[in-house]
Amino acid sequence: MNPKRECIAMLLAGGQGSRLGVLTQTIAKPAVPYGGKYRIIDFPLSNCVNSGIDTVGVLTQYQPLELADYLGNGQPWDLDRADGGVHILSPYQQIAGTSWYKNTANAIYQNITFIERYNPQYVLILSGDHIYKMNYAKMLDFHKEKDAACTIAMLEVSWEEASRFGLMSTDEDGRLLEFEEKPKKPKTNTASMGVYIFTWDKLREYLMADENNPGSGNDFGHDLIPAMHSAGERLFGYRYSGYWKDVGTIDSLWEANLDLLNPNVNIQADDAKWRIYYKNTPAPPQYIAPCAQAQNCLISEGCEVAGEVDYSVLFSGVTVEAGASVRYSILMPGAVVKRGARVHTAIIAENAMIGEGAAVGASSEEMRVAGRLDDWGVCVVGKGVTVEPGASVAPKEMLDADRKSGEVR
Amino acid sequence: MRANNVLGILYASSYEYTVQELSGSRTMGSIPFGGRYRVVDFVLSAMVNAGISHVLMPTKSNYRSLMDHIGNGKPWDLARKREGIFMLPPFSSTDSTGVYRNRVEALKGILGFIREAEKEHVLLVDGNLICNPDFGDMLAYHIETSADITIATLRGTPPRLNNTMLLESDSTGRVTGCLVTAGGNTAAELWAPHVLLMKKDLLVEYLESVADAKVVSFERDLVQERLGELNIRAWELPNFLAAIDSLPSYYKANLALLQSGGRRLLFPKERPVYTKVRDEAPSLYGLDASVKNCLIADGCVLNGAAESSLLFRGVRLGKGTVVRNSVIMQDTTIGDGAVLENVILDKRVTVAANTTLSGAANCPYYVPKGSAV
Repeated sequence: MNPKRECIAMLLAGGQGSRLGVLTQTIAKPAVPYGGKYRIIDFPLSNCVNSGIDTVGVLTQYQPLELADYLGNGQPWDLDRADGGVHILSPYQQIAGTSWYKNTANAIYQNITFIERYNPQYVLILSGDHIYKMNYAKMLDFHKEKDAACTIAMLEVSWEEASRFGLMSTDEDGRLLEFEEKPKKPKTNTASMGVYIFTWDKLREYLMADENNPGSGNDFGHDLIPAMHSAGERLFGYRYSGYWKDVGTIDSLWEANLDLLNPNVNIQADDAKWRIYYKNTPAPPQYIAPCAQAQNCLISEGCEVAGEVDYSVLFSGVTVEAGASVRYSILMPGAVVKRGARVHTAIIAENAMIGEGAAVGASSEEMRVAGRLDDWGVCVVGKGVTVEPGASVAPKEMLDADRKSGEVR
Repeated sequence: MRANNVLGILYASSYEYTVQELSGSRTMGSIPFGGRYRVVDFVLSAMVNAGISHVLMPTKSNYRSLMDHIGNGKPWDLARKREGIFMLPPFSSTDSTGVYRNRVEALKGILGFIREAEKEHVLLVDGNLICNPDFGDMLAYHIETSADITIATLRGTPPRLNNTMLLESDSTGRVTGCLVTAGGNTAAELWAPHVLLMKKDLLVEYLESVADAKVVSFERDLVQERLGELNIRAWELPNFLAAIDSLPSYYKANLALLQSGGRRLLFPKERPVYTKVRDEAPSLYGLDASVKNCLIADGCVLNGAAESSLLFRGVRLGKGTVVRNSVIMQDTTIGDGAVLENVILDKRVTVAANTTLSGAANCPYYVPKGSAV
């Protein structure tokens, strides 16, 4: 038995993130690279550590290899603890039979034994899909002050996006009045961030009840929270107002990366007081050649830049050769852009190769002139894929196999 | 060849008096180098990459920054239950302060650790050397020639350092002549930066035989005087950047990394260089940034112009600044409109707006750690 914890975190990292297409073909969504150095999961993990939470269960299911490899023993996040630390929780065989994690609430239900080893008073439920910096300790203070059974972090989103989220209305005290998961016609634009603190006794009780309810979909937003609400439990909304971005789609992942270049967006990753930790791969400093032009961009160690880079994010070990241009694009670790190639509005995944003189993506202006603005969007070149010299990749295209010269979609 | 039967000994304090500006508050080994490293990182990483998992690092004075840097050795994978890295500060006793004056005294002070290491060979390397060779190749040569001592060699002008060995060798690579000099511009075919691989028993035997370590010389006793008796071999170092012997040579070695040849020497893909991790964000290039021929570490914010320079982690370059041929160490802030040429700014220096600082190409202007200019 471990010493008692006040609060432990359970991080739901099992989702496929199917809307990210080729980027999540072989890795789980939380392992998707973000921001020149990080993976999505670095944000919730670093938030935990910075908030004083030293025990985190990471629930994995879809393509766990790379994620498990990345987390290792948790050392980069200071989560290699003698007691507590990071634990990877995969579905496992039991006497009663084998079952995958059916849904979010069921995943936690299947790990009740893990949680009880730490005998926590509170459990923080997180997901590995969001980019944000948040002090969970303040939210926990709020939860205790309100004597809540469950506190849900919430923030305002744009009205257009509102129907993608669980929407909440609260009274002046923060008590939840109404909770609607992804309604077609939103009545409010205050959305749940998918960050919950539960008083463990209550959560345990409702997880049991949920599991015994054959009609339940075993989902926090759809089933468990509405059940607690209708039973009259003390549910509260905790307002958060910083940067928060769901990076579930190609467009939002691209935007969230470029947000790092926007001085008006408050997500500086280099904040010394709230550092985002990551697993470092050793690489020499970045080299910017005499003929290079690099402006308004983020560049990481191990890069060699001789071409033009503008409004882009370059991960570790990226090469941009002389005469190549990269604009409004995200180049993941090890990507190579050869001489004279042109990359615009694109995500180039790990170790992809853009051959000499190739054209990947296009600017909105070019597409407008061509009268094809509707076809404009972010294009993606998958992991390890080669775009041969002179070949082209159209806007919005997702390339998961090599593109031959002269071949057109 | 995996060198897991080799004990590494890396002197942290070699020749630090030659760069008193930089070593005022640190050891030779912990002098920042190459944008994100400390001098010690290169040889230490090369040792680890060759399979050496047991390293002794005798230190002399000012070793706090080195202790902070090395920590438990985790970044080099040397935080081990078996073996690992041992920092060995002077150990004072009733008859000695423990502070050594020469190599033999340093080794005698750690004789117990050397004796106890269950290794057949010892690799001794000076802490002022910037190189990333394959020590596995050196060991293969050492074993193939059944050498007692294998000495790494280079051709050309030796640095201006005491106890520099100038060597002669025959066609088989056996060392036939040795001159112990003060280095500098002496004409010699072969000189030896202090990188020696030898049988551990031989080293232990020698150290045990030394009665008064103050008056002996490692190079004279073990190499020069025993050439006939021992099988001493020269192994040409295929990869070498510099031996630091002065502030200008430190400056020059840094700027050499702006050449692709220099970078290839020090950063071969198969032998990564490890260092303490700082979890910096990527460097941010602003709208007004103009960076040409520079080596830039992570965590910088660049809003000015930089040319032919090295910027360490967390450097802030203000608007309208111009930095040329300079080495700017970590967390230094350069105010708007400042103009710097041929300078070395140590850590956490603050340069006020519109300041002009310049040195000469062969004699850089140095600004000490933490100062405000």
